[in-house]
Amino acid sequence: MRTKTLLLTAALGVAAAATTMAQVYSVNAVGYVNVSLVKGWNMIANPLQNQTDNSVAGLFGDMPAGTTVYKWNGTGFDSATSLGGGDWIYGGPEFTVVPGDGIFVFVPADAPAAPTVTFVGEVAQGDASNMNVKAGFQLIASKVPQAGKLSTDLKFPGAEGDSVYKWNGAGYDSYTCLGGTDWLPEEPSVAVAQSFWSYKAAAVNWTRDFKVNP
Amino acid sequence: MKKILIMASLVASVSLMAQGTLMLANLGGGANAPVFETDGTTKVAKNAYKALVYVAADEAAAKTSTTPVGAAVIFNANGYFVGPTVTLTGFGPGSKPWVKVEVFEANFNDYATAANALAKVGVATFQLGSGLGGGEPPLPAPGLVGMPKIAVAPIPEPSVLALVGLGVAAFLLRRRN
Repeated sequence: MRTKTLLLTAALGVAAAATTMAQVYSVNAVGYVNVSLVKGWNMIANPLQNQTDNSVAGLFGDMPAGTTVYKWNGTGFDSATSLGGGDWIYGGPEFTVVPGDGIFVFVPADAPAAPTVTFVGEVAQGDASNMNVKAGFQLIASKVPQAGKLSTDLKFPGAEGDSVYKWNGAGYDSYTCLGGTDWLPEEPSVAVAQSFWSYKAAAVNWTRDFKVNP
Repeated sequence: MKKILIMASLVASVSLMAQGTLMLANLGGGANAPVFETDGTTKVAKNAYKALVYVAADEAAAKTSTTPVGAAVIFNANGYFVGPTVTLTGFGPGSKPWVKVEVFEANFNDYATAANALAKVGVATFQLGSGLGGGEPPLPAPGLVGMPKIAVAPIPEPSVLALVGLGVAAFLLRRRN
């Protein structure tokens, strides 16, 4: 998965200006992230809070017929399938995909070309960048569009016995936490908009309190 | 001997507990097999047909199965039905069971009733072309990958054919007399 991130410079300019203006307490950062999909299975995430429409049709738009988006509901997958032309059918309950949600996307082998999906929206900051990681299996992603080592850079709260599984295109690579930033065989890294499976014995808060301009 | 029995029972219990997942859809999850009208080129109309799906370990069992793995799924687009994901006990993640898909007009509840009424029906039996979903961590369920082309048509049941045969015979006898 090749990901290109561009946060709008205008928004960041405002953020920079905010540091010199004591009366300004918050700033929004908007931008877009292009995610190049491959034919077959992709395990990705929506890294930006779309302010108008986080539905599958709203996020993915016109995708090759047969493209399927799967979202974990805690016990199984809910799915939406593209008919082409921007039309989607849900195979069960309708759902949205917001930052923090991981999803599988299947692109059919007979698609004309591997598509790119462009996520547009606002960077999660402050409380909005924090999330609860449930006990058991959960398909999740960083709520902040950042790449890096999961615990060291993204502050994922690793506990002894935790497992993380990343999709490698054909199966899962697994990582086991020995506590904190100590992982076997190594600390997992994730790209922007890449999701992963978390398995935890107990629920925990993933606290970022992220700010574009700290 | 005792060890063999214990091992056999463990294998049997694991097999029984194996649970793969399958999406009841002829579009998505790797599937793209629209159902056509009798002309073989026009996709059947949205809401005009329903599909029932059966799963078994081999072709013969799939063909004779009378217990569908889920409720009938309505065609929610022209040519396509995209239904829910079902869990299949006894079929492990990654396995490729045999599948029978029955398609029939939506104002009937099953294939046999529709066929007896000379409504348009279609059926296909095939081995799933992609492994079932499930496992830990779970893989998403595939669609009905490998489903061959279905073109619906009225198919007289044997009893109907027998009645027609009797009628023809009676007609010929009467003409002879």
